[in-house]
Amino acid sequence: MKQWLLQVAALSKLSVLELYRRKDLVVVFLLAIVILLPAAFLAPFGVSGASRYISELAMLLIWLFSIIIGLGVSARLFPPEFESRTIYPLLAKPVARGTVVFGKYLGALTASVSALLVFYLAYAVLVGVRQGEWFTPILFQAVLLHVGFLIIITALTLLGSLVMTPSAALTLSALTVVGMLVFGQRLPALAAAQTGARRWVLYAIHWFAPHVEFFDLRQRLVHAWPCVEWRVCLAVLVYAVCYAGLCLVLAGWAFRRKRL
Amino acid sequence: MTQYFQHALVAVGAIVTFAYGQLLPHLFAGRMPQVLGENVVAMLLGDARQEISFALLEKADDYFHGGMRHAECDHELTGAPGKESENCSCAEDGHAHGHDHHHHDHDSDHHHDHDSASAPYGLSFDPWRWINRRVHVQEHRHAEGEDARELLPWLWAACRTSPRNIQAYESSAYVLSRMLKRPHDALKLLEEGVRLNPTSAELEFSLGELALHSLKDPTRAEQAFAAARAKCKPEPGEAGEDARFLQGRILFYLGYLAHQRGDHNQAVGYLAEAIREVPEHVGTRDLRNLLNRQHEDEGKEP
Repeated sequence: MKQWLLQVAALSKLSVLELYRRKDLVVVFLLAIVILLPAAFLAPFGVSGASRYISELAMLLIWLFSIIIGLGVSARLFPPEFESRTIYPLLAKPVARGTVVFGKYLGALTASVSALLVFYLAYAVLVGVRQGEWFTPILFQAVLLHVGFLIIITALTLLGSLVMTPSAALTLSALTVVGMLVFGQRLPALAAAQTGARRWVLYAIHWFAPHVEFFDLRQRLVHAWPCVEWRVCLAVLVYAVCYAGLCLVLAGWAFRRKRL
Repeated sequence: MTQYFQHALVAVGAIVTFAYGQLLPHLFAGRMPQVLGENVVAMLLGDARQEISFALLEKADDYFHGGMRHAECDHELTGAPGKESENCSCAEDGHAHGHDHHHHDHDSDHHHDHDSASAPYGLSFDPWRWINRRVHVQEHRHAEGEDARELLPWLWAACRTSPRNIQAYESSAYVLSRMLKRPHDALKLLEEGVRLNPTSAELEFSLGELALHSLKDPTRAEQAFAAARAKCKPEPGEAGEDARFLQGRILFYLGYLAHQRGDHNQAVGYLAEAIREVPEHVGTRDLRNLLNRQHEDEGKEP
């Protein structure tokens, strides 16, 4: 077990280092500052004191950047290794293919979550300075569920990168994530409004596609609505772990069957 | 040597480009594709500005409802002005206004819980729906008092994106004057709106209402209502229904203000015009009642 943990930790570390070496985080962070800083000084009609618009803008950027980083990191886990053939020395070591998949996944997740925590820390400081509210319980819930979101999307993209080309995996994952964020809540109503095959396709999407909209607490956070019940929070996190687990099992199976 | 030559070439190119850019408006005066003085947003977005402006206005409406897009709520910030009013009255709190958000004691009525409703496709329980209804806010609330500040960035953006969006000016002025008690800022904004939309009777009317109710300036109000009357030209048929409704309100206010000034003849003149143009309008009825009451009072005097 200890040996397995050491192997997983070593593989994860590589993915984390990769993110920070590529300076993706610095770029998106600077971009966020460039967008938010002028907006923060806006005094519409000469009236100052509005703060929700800046929170909403900041949250939108956090979500956008977390999707970009999460998908980017997980889509780049295996394809470059196949292309540069560095996967062979890795597999020549006494490490199971399943362990490689899980270790790399954990690395991608750790890298994405570490970037997310930096974003949320900056957000908390911004909100704290502007509104005087530091680290509210709803912010804690928002971070927790956002981590759940990353658990799902990194697993999904990793699976995609093993069964299709990297660009196809990235595009399809991005479409799925954005599509579910926008339409996920309305899928039953949309399906009910259709007839025939379209209706059943929509119901299938509703039942089997990843409901990433569960993890979106922006509205509650920005408009200061009360926290979500903790049992619901737990249910959502269990959903994330189960969905990611299923994706990883399929990814492990695909990696074992892959002809290298 | 080559490098110096390249740098010099780039510098000369930059100077020529700048000079050409400065010369163009003079060389093709009156024939340039853009309107002189139009800003970058106007040039980049063109007619799409109006749609973006409406989207921003809807965003402000969402903020009014606590971040919720609530189709079931009657209290819309972007609603058509005055349609729902049943009385034309000049009392401070009772005057006709399309954006009357003052009495929201019914918030608890909107706290729906649809969990008992079964899934529409025959399954008794849908866990994804259950989670969604608990994670995402289902009820809504209305912004009141200082909370209305949060609406301003979106309203400001709506006005700036498209100065032709009259609804944006009306809603912004309402939030400033009524919700934030800043009537002078609202006046400035409406005057800007009138300047940018010289044919809009709605904005003149809003200006008149603001002057009358918030600034207590009947002279300024009468000027604005008179300007609104001149600009309000209803089309025949259903297309002119909104304009006719507005015309009725304008004539009511003009008659009321003339009556307040003691100019009975002019008030009767406005009533006659209202009876001719909008006989069924509630403002016509109220103006007639007002003038009849005065007539009766005068008859009772010894």
